[in-house]
Amino acid sequence: MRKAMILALFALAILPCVAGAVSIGVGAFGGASIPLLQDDNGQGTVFGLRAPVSLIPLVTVEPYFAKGSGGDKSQDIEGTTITRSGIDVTGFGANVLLTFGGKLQLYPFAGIGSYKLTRAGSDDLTNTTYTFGLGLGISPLPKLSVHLRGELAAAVDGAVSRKWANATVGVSYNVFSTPIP
Amino acid sequence: MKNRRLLLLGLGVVAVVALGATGCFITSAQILAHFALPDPFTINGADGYERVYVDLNTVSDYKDNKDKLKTISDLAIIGKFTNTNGPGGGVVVYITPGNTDLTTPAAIVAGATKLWGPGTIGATGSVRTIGWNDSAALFTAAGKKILIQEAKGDGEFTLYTIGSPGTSNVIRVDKGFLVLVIGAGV
Repeated sequence: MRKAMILALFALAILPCVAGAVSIGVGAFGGASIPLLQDDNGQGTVFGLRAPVSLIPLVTVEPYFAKGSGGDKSQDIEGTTITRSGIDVTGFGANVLLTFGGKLQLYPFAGIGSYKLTRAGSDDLTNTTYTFGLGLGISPLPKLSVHLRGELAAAVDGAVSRKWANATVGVSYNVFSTPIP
Repeated sequence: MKNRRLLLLGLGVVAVVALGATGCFITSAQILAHFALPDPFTINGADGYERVYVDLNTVSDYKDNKDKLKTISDLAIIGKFTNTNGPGGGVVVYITPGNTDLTTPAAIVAGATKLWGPGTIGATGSVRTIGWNDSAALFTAAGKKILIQEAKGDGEFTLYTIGSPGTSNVIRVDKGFLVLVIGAGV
């Protein structure tokens, strides 16, 4: 189902190309990744690349690649401090953004992807990951935009998930666009 | 306009499918729990093994989350291992469901499932502190499966620690703990 959902999102991205109204950008982002409700994983960083495809006014589909490094987590057990390496994440997927505004945009977004979780001493896990969040986009120059985002990412493993709150800043450059018919 | 409606519908479908497919995943957590092993305990080459009965119901973090437990996300057996007498060797931990009483290393190897190890240590005087990272890598899939089943069941199982077969040494374990990271709903 995960692959089908991702394919569906890419199909949505391609659909307006046929209709003739498209802008395509490339961007990079980075920021902090804070594990939520995880006693065995510490705060780390996340960075990545994304390619926003503006389909029609209000809607952007954005394939992305993300890589995160979890920080070590220390816990005290009856006076003994133990430390576990953080979980590193490599993933890809696509978000759908509902954009409002002009040079200043506020947008909610949601998406689906596939994240690989790795950590010393543990088997690698590949989980379907859902993302939800809110972004603020500022366009100081034509074709260039800066984005601040707050995001919840949940990598689902059966009935439980590992969750992160990601706060990122990114830059996108519009490399191709056609007028909206 | 038609495309816009289609895309908004698509976004809505993605959100609904995501939430529906994952149930209550948002309200889950990874919770640390630990069981203190006897402090210290000794694996003596003379009798060859040490038995530890574990009742996780005595662990508050486990007891509080038992009914919401979905999986064990991470495991470790940690402690300070000291070889007080004899040549170097290894320590292996076996597991059986429930409260059992196997009385020889041979019976343990035959009747229990290898859970962890070997944690190796040098000759007399050697000290090795096995931490969370080192320990997590020493679990076997079969033993881990039994431990998860027991944790999701009645929470009772028996651990047996044995030294290297044919090696006469005495290994003391101080501040030993079984560490569990419980994947549970909250």
